[in-house]
This record gives sequence, structure tokens and C-alpha cells, in this order.
Amino acid sequence: MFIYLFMPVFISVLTGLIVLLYDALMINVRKWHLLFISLAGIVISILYSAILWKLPFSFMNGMFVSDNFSIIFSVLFLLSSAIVLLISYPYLNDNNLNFGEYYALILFATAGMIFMASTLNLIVIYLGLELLTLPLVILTCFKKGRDFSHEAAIKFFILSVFSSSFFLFGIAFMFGATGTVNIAQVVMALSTHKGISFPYMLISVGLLILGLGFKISIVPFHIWTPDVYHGAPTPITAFMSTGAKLAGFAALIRILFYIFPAIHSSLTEVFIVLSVITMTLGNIVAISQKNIKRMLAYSSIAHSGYVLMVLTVFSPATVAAAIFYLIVYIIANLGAFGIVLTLRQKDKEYLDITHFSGLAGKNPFLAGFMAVFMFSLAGIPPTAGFMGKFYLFNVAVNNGFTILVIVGLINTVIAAYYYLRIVYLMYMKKETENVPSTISPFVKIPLIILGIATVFFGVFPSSIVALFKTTLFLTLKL
Amino acid sequence: MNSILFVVLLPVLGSFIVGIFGKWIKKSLIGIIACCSVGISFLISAFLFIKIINLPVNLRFFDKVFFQWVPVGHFLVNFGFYIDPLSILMILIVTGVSFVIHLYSIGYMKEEEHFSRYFSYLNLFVASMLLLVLADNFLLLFMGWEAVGLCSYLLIGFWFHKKSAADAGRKAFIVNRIGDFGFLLGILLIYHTFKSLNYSAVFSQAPLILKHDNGVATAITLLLFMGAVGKSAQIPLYVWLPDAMEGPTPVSALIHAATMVTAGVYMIARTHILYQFAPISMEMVAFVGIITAFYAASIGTVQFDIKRIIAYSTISQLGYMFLGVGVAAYSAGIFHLMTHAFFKALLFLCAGSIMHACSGETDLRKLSGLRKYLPVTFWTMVIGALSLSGFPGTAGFFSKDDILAHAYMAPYYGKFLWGLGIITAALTSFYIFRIIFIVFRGDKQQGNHPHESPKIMTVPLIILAILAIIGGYVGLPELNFIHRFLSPVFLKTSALSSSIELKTMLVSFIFSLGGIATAWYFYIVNPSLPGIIKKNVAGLYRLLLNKYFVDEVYERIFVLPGKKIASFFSDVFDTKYIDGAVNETGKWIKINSEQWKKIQTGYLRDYVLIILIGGIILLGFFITKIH
Repeated sequence: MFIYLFMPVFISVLTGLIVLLYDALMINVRKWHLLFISLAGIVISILYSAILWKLPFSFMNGMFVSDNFSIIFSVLFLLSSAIVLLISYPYLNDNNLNFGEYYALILFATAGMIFMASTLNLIVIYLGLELLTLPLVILTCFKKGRDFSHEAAIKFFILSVFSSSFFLFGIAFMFGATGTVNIAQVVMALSTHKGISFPYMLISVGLLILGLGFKISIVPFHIWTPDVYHGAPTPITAFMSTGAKLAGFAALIRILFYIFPAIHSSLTEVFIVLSVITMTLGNIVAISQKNIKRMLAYSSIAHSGYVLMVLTVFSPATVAAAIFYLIVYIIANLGAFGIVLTLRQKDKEYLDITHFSGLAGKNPFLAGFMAVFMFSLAGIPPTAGFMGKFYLFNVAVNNGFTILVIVGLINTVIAAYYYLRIVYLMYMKKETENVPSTISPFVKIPLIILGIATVFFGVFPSSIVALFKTTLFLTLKL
Repeated sequence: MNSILFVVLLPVLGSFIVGIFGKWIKKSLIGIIACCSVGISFLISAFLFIKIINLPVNLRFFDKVFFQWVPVGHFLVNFGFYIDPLSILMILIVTGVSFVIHLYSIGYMKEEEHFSRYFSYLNLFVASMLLLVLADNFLLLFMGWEAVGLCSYLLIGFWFHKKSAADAGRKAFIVNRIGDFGFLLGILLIYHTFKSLNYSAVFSQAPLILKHDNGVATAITLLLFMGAVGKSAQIPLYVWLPDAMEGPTPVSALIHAATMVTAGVYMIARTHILYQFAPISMEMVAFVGIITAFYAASIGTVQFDIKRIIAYSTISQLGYMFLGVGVAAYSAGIFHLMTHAFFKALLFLCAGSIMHACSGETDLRKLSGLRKYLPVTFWTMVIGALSLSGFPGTAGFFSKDDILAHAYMAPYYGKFLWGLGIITAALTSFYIFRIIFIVFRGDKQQGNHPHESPKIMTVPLIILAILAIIGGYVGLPELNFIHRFLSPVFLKTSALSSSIELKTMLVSFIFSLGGIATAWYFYIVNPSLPGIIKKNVAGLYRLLLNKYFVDEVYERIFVLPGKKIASFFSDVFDTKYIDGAVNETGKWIKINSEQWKKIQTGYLRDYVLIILIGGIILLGFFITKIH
């Protein structure tokens, strides 16, 4: 039985190795084979995950667990990796970057994410984190010869190491305080009060939050985000802002879910403050960005702030609202990056916000989808973004965080400015310079799927939210 | 009974077809579509009427629910029609008179450029009015109530490029808004009291709930009456109706005489069960009615505009109807509503015919000697005038005397109500025959080439003239078909002794004859007399001519301060504070954005420092939490 548990991770890694070897050993490699093999591996992984649905299982004392929570996240990681690979393909070709390493690194990173979501052991979370981060660092400077990329990669690497050291320190404190690094056992130790040091435990939680907060770009640990998002190749930015961020949230939600009930009074205020400064700074600074990738980086910071709102109280509704919001965000963000990727000619990219001027007249398909994704990110009905915010704010109000919701709503208004500016430029402005666009089916098909999903979840959100409510929470405890 | 839906649907359909495709349809076809939709509607109504008559008296009530309209939690409102003798009679009147006026409109509006727009509005009005009278709950009633108000607004301002017409439309809308405000409050209070808006639920609970709580009954009924005062142009909200004459004349006939303005009377008759628990409201209705009747008639005696005189006459006659329902003579009120619909529509259409003949002239001082040129208009108008004056044998005679006799018997100030009613009757016959004598007698004025209207306009006149005579015989004192038909709807109506009825009849006949004689003496025998009287009571004359200066007073008290407040908010408050606040906030956020952006220096050492400081603050917070 337990071999099935590892199948999603195992297949991801295996596929990565196959792609690597295939590219290295075969002569006259057809590039689309690489893509095909990777996607096939991802699909098989997803199928294995689906088999495990509603079959909670724990391996080696919580070292590796499989429950509905981890499965939902694994599927989301795999799907976002698949979409990133699809939209990367024409980009890689045009930049002469189409090597097996790219696919392998993304698949390894995906395996790291799955580890982060499928364990109760802090050490394994750390390993997953590193397995995710190291490929990302390489991918950030994958486009050789661009100073910007190299700079970003170095910053990313050093700051990651820096924040990881905090995380490790947190694990050490946790072990010192409770004698275990398994969060389920931490909770048990807390309930019996035997041999635990509460103060050290608090410090440990603070350090863990810092380490993961770095990953999900909580202010002030967001500081790497704009530069790295800006410097990385655009598909990698998409990957970092969706799958990688989601992995950080998966680990954070799981840790907080276990530890929160024991010490929650001390943490609520922290999260309120972090939530407010994260969304406010993200949104306000996004307004003055001129580069679309930087703008989306700040937008992604702000969205983390929204989700933090509900991570102070755990109930089926909060977990469902948070995950639904994350899904909605990922869909719209992947879509937005997909469109950013199309504004290029060969290896020259057009990344200024003003490059969107007059897109509607030139390419109504791209402009229309961009508008849908921008509406969704801004939270305008009938897109999914609206329903995501609706559930999130609803849960927050129900738990007594009305003030937080008011701040959130004000932020939504601020955010609307920079999202709708894109729509405004596309539809109301004349083209200022000749911006070419390259659309291939590899981008078009994911865009259509993401666009439909954005509207679909905006109109029929209740069934999926109800599914999350009933299935995620119960199994999370294990 | 399902066919009742088509009574409403057909005019809606007609309105949509004519309104949307009017541009591509020939005028003649537009006329046919519009008339047919109302005509078939009338035939169905007549068919239903016959069906109802053949049923036993206690089985003549239906609540036909078509679908759930507003299901919100416990608040459930159906889309349903309430069919009983009262609503059947109302739809018969509405569709019948509407059909005749539609026919007339084809001739009257022939030269009109926006022919299709006119008929689209007119059909929509008929549908709304039918919805109003057929509704089986207060919300649907309110919807119909507002929809007729909208159509009235659209049709008063039909020639909106004329400033006076556009202003008149606005005035009607705003004044009605005031009444509707009360009406809506009344409906909300009904829901609060009865937890339902359905007629049958409200009326069946009314005796239980209101018996012990007179205050609520009074509040509800007074608020409802406020709506009626607006819609039916009673003191103090009557001011819009004379101005509403800016609309096309058939519109005045249909909406501002025969149907819409009587909605208030219908509504009080419909909710009479509530009124029975509120004697104060009943007195209020009766008094407002009779005072309005007298007041408007007095203004009518000195005005010069034919249509305005008839408009004041409408206000005055509506006052009579309110007097009727106010003294619990509901069937008498509805009876007068019906006969009034006939003769007042007739008078308006005759006025329209005169205007048609004299290129739109409505000023009495410029019209005279038309009898020879407009024979049909003359005779039909005389019949209308006689009916309005309550001349024996005409429809108005029976219905008006029915009301006055009931007023005489009223438990509160009966003699006063009756006396004022009689005096008003004299004024009524005076002002209407003043028109007849001035317009049709004497010499033709120079420059006019009057001509009789075409058949399409005279036939409706003749139909209405016939109705203005025979319409009253359904209420003959001894047979009294209409009372027997309507009485199951109304719980109790006081019985009249025939001696009193005869007595009041005789007195009112003498008074109305006196009015006619006075008019004859003033304008035929001794035409210089009015001038002498004018000089002797110049103050009173000016007061009446200027309509008691009510418009001017309202202008000073309500309109000018309102405009001042509005211009303050639009010119000063909005531009300076609202826009200013919005713009300043935007600027402020942008400035902040530029400032905060500077945190991102690009130097790794700064980034490490920021993370370190952030981490220290975070951990510091956790450490302070250690107890």
C-alpha cells in the first residue's frame, strides 16, 4: 500500500530523470518529446494522487502522509507545473533554451512541493523547501548571459539560505522545547504539558513563520520578490508566483493548523498585523510599477496578505476559503503571465505596462483574456476572483475580523487601480509603439482553459467550496 | 379564468411590437395593432364579466396565482390576479374606455411624427393599469401603480422638446413621488402588521388584528390615502393634474380623467376592510374629497383654458368619489368612477375635437360660434356636459346623487358634506356650460376655418355619448344592478331610504339647473354681467384666476429651497468635497507608492538587513508573549 503513497513524488522525480537522460543520451532529440514525456509524467502523477483521494495514510510516524489536503495541493502543484511547461515551450524554443534540464528542474521542484504538503515532520518540510528552492535558483538564471538574471539568482540564493537558516533554527528550537519535530506529536506534548518549554516553543513558531513567510512573500520578508520575479525568465516567474508560493502556503497552513489551537491568543495579532502590512504595501507599491512583471510581483505579495486574513482561525470554512482563494489566484496569475509571455518577438520581450496599449484592437483574443484575468485578480464579478474574495471576507467577518475585512476592501479598491489600468490601456488607448505578439497553441490552449475556469468558478463556486469544506478539514487532523 | 392573463399580456405585447418595430411598420398598421391588442383585451374582459355574472354570488371570487414572484426567505410574493366583481368591473371600464380612446387617437395623432412611440406608451399604460386593478397583493399593486405613473410621465412629456411639457411631466412625477412615499410606507406597515402582502391574507387577518389596535389601522389607511391623494390629485397634491394637460388630449382623456387618476378611489375601495377599522381615516377621506371637489370647481369657474377647466373638473369629480368611499358608500364611489370615466373621457375628446378643428386653440376667449361647424362635437359635448352636471336621465345624475344621498346619511357632519356637495354641483354645471355657451354660441371668430373631425374621431365621441347617458341606468335607484353586483365585495353598505334619496335628488337637480341657468344668463342673455361682477369682487376673482396662488406658494416653500440645496450639493459639495476627497486620496496613495518603492534599493545588504529587522521585530513580539 505505502508504495502508492510515494507514487506522485516518485513519478515526478523519475520523469525528471528520464527527461534529463533522454536529452543527454539520444541523438537528434525532438524537443517536443521532452515536453510530452514531462506532461505524461505529470498526468500519471495526478492519476495516482486521485487514486489516493479519501484514503488517508501516514507513513513512518508522519514522515510522509497522504490525506485529502495533501492530495488537493499535490494536484494543484502538478497542474500548475504542467501549465508552466506548456507556456514555456515556445519561449524556450525562441531563446534556444530548450534543454532537458529545464523540464527536469521543474519536475524536481514539483516533487519538493509535494513533500512540503505531505508531511507532518518539520525536517521533511525543510528538505522539501530546499528541493524546491535550489532548482528555482538555477531556473532563475537559466537564461545565460543576462546580468539581470544572474543578479536575481544570486539574491534569491543568498536570501533563501538566510531565511532557511531561520527555519532550521526554528526546527532546532522546536526539538529543544518539545523533544520532537513531528508537529502532531508537538500538539500531543502540548496537551500533556510534559517536559515542554513553552517560551522556546513560541520562539520556534516565530522562526518557522519567518522561514515560510519568506517563501510566500509576507512583508517584510517579501523583499526578494520584486527583484527575483523581475529577473527570472517569465515562465519561471509564473512558476514561482503560483506553484512555489502555494507550497509555502501548504506547509504554513498545516503547521499553523496543528500548533494554533494551543497558543492561538498570541498569534492572532501577529497575523492581523502581517496581513494588513502585506496587502497594503503590496497594493500600494504595485501602483507605481512600470514593468508588468514587477507589478504582478507586488500583486502576488498583496494576495498573500489577503489569505493571511483567515489563517488566524481554523475551521472547515476558513481552510476551504483560503484554498479556494489560492486556486483562484493561481488560475488568474498563470493566465496573466501566459499573456505577458506572448508579447515578444523571438527573444525580445515587451514587458512595459504601456506595451499593453491598444492590444484590444490588434489582438482581441489576448486582450479579452487579459481583461478576464485582471478582473479576476481585482475581484470583479462574475469572475472567480470575486467569489474568492467573497468567501475569504465572509469567513473573516464571521470570525470577528471586521476591521481586517474593511482594510481588505480598501485594498481591493487600491488594487483595482493598477489591474484596471491594464484593461484601460488595452481598450481605451491607441498603440504607442509597435508591439508584436507571438501566440502558439501551447499558450493558447492553457489560456482558454484558464479563462473558462476563471469564469466558471466565478459563476458556480459553491460546489467546489462545499467539497473543500467537507473533505479537507476532517482529514487534515489525521 | 386563465384567460385573464391575456387581458394584461396583449397590451404588453402590443406595446413591445409597436415600440420596437414601430420604425418599420406603417402608421395604419401600428394603429391596428395597438387598437386590436386593447380591443381583444376588452372582449376577453367582457367574456369574463359574463362568466362571473352567471356564477352564484358567493362564488365570484378567484385568486389566480401564476408564479412565485419574489421568494426571499419568509417573504413571499406571488404574481397573481385577484378576480372579483370589483376588479372585473374595473378591467371592463379600463379596456373599454381605452379601446375607444385608442381609436380616437389614430385620427387625432395622424400627423404625429412619433406615432409608434405614442401608441407604445399608450398600450403600456393600459397594461399597467390592468396590472394595478388585477393585482392580488400590495407589491404587485404598487408595481402597477408606479408603472402607470411612469406612463403618465412619458405621455405628459410626449412633446418633450416643448419646455412646458417636459416640466409638466417632471412635476407630475415628483408630486406623485410624495404620495408614493406614503403609499410605500403604508405597504411596509401592512407587511409589518400582517406578515404578508397578499390581499386575502391581509383582509382575512384584518378583523382579528386591527380590532384591538385602532392606531395601526389609522396609520396604515392614512398612509395609503397619502398615495391616493397623489395619484388621484386631491388637496394638497393636486397641482400636477392641471399642468398634465400639456400631453396629447387623448392622453388627458384616458389617463388623467378616466383611468389612472381613479386608481386612488379603486385602491381605497379595495382596502375598505382596513378603512372600516379606522373611522378617523374615513372622515379624513370624506373631508379631503368634498373640500377638493368644491375647491377645484371654484377654480374651474374662471379659467380660460378648456382643457384646464376640464382638468379642474376632474379633480372636483374625483373629490366626489372620495366623498363616496369616505362615507362607506363604496359601490356609489365606484359607480361614479365608471360614469365619470364615460362623460369625462367624452368631454376631453370633445375638447380635443375642438382643438383639432381650430388648430390647437384652447383659449375660451378665442373660440366661439363653432356649433354650425362641429355639429357632432357640439351635441356629444352637450350630452357630456349634462351628464357632468347631473341632469336627470344622464349617467352622472344617478351616480352623483347616489354619493350625495349617502353623504347626507353619513354619521359625521352629513349635512355639511351634502350641502357643500350640492353647492359644488351648482358650480360644476356653471363652469361646464360656460364652455358650451362660449364655444358653440355667438359668432365665429375671424381667421379660423373650423372643420368637423373625421369619422375615426367622431365615432368614439358618439359611443361615449351613448354610454354617458345609458351608463347610469345600471344604478337606477330601485333596480340598482351595480350595487347588487358589487355588494358581495364590500362588507356592508348603508341602505338608503328612498324618500331621502328622492329629496336629495330633487335639491341637487335644482342646484345644477341653477348653475346651467346662471351660465346661460351670464354668457347668452347678458354677456356684460361677468365683467361687472369681476370688477365688484376683483379680489376674489384674482384669487380664483390664480388658483388660490397655490403653485406660487409651493414654489416658494418647497421648490426654490429644494433647488438651492440641490445646487449646493452639486456645485459646491460634490465638486469640492466629494471629488476633492477622491482625487486627494488618489494622489496621496500615489505619493506613498513612490516613497515605499524606495525600500527596494536593489542592494543585497539592505535586503538582508530588512529581513533581519523584520525577524527581530517578529521574534520580539513572540518573546513578549512569554509569560
